[in-house]
Amino acid sequence: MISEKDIRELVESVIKELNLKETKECLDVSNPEPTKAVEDSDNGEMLPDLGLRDLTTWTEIPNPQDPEGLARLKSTSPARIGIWRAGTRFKVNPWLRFKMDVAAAKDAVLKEVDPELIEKLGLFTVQTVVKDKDEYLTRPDLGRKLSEEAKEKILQECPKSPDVQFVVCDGLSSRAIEANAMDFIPAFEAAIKNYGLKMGKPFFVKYARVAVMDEIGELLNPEVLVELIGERPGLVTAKSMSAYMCYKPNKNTIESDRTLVSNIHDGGLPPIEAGAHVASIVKKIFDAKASGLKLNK
Amino acid sequence: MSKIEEIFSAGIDIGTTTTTVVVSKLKIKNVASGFVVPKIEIIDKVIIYRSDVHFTPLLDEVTIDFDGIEKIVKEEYKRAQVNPEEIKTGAVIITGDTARKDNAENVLKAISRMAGSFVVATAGPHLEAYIAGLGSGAAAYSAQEHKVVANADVGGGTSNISVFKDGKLITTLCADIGGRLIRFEPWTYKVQGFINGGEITSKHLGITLEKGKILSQREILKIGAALAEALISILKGKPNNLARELALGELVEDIVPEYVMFSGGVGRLIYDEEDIADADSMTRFGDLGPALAIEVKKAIHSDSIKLLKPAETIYATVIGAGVHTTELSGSTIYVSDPDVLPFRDLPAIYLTATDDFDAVTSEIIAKADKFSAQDTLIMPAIVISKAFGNSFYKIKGLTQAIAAAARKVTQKGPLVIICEDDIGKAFGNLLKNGLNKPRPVISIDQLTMKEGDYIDIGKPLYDGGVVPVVIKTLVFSNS
Repeated sequence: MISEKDIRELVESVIKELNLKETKECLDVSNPEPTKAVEDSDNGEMLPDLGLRDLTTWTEIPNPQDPEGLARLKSTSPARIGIWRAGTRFKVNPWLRFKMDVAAAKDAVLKEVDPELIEKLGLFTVQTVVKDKDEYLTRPDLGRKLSEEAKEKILQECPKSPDVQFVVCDGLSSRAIEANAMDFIPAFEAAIKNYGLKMGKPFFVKYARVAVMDEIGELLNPEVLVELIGERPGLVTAKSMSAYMCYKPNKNTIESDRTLVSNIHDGGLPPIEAGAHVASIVKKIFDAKASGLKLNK
Repeated sequence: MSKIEEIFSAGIDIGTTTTTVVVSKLKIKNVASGFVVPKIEIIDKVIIYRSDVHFTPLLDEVTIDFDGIEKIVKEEYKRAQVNPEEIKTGAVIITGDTARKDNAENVLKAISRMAGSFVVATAGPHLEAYIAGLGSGAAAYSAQEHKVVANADVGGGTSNISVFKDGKLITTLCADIGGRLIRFEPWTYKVQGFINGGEITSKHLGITLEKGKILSQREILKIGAALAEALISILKGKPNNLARELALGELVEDIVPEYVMFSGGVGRLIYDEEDIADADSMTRFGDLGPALAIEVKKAIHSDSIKLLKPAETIYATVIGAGVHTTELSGSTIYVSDPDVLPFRDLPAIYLTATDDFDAVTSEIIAKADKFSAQDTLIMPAIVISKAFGNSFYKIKGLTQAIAAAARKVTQKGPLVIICEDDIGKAFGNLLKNGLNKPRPVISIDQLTMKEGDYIDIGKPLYDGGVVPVVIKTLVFSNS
């Protein structure tokens, strides 16, 4: 598995290989003076960390006619626009950053959620019937089934028929859970308590897909089930988390029965506010005895 | 498709010379798609009624006729076919020289209460400048064209200038320059009365003012020219001596607008096609207005200032107050007891970002003390800046610090929290949770306030999703 440090080393060696004699000019619109982005690397100084550059201000357009207007446009989107080109290709710096973001996204999919964090969150761990990451990625159907061992453990640990059953799943981004669960969970619990609802015992499901909640629902029969799950990472963030909610999920549950809040991360909905917001939806679902499209009726 | 909620908003402008009323309809909708948090916004604003322009009723030189104003408002509502109970938001503004009358504050409060369930009271030349700039269209034009645009609202008693950049207010400049600094017997040059600004200007020119004295046409135009010159000098960031004498508050010198608009009663005359400078018609309104307008026009021509025509002139302030002052809070908020709302004129405590929660507690106690003379029943609103971050640890610590401070300041009464970041709902829940004695908690977000600002908070709209707020900013910055 490639770590961030490895990536940085890779990036550095690539730049060395390219043997850039002349300094590259790069224009950051938040700083209209052209800055020297890549220096001759022989003096032992660190290369600039391209991963730290803000995509909403980074442009490589040489001498833009209206720098302020460009800055305004750029500020509306983290998309890779205004990054210029060399012939028909990317320029070196944007290309390296692109490769880095792809690598980060892959990492988020392939890595496991840190077991220490799960412990810190006070969760116990169970696993679906999936054996390893390869099987997880190639067999989505298996990610929806709990192993026999998991079922036993859940029945043993968790009280049945709570108002709210809370579960955390790795899904397609381990980074999402690592970055957001710590702030989401206590805010969620505080709000649930203010609504006077009773929480069951929460746990973590490894190698899980969204619909694993249906089996959990069959086992524990909660009024409302809330599931945090890592979203498929993109090139802007690999840390986005979703919260799925369902009224009494069971084997007959269909996708439109689930309510979803997505885009939970520090650049989207802050996890702490998401916790309180999701709790307020849970309260609505609890009172209406319906979720998903049925809740909107 | 999410539903659209419609509310009525009223604007009432009680000015030096005239009083006007507008009623508008605001449409509110959740514009977010299904899978993300709601984003409830005002999607449309339509003015459905404009009143006639009434003379502001006065009992004498220093007293506003409250009954007269109440009658105007009631009759105009009737003609607009709305009940005060239906008016959910809006603002009454008392402006110019009228704001200096003995009973101005009481009239303002009483009218704001009779005019609707959440019609806020606003006053002061700097706030008026801002509101007029919103109403004239200067703010919108500067946002659309990305230019620095000034709006000068030239009324009876004062000129209130607001300067916008990219739609954001960068400063306000105010001075005692207006059409009714000196009043004449209409169609004659016989002085009927004057206020402070008129006296200062005349003295500056070596003209003595006296009730009953007949001035010459040249003298009147000279006074108009001096006032116009002072006004233009303020607009260009180079206030002359007279401008400094007439200024209300500080004049900022380094801001040069690219475009200028004029609104207000005198503002309207500036855009009149023909000049009626001939003889006696100059005092047809019984004041300096036409003379001032003619001289401003001349000064603009010789100065090649880029002049824009505003969307509104004489109605700019009232439309600003009635249509543009109401904001909505963020769409995930915490209101434990909606019945305690609305709140009027809550001062704000802007917390200094720190990791030391004890310091937060002492800061609140110290500042609440400072504000306690104004309202002992409700603690000032506490503003949580983005600089605090939004980790659970930080927010939890802050709520504990606030709860500790609140216990010391007042035992009862609601706590009001304003979060800059989108964390209002979480903050409110955690604060409510951590109180050892229950009290109402109102926690709203995505609003920016500074120390010394005041906020009015209305009852929740859109199924409790948002609250309407009016923030009265007294300090400006470029942020």
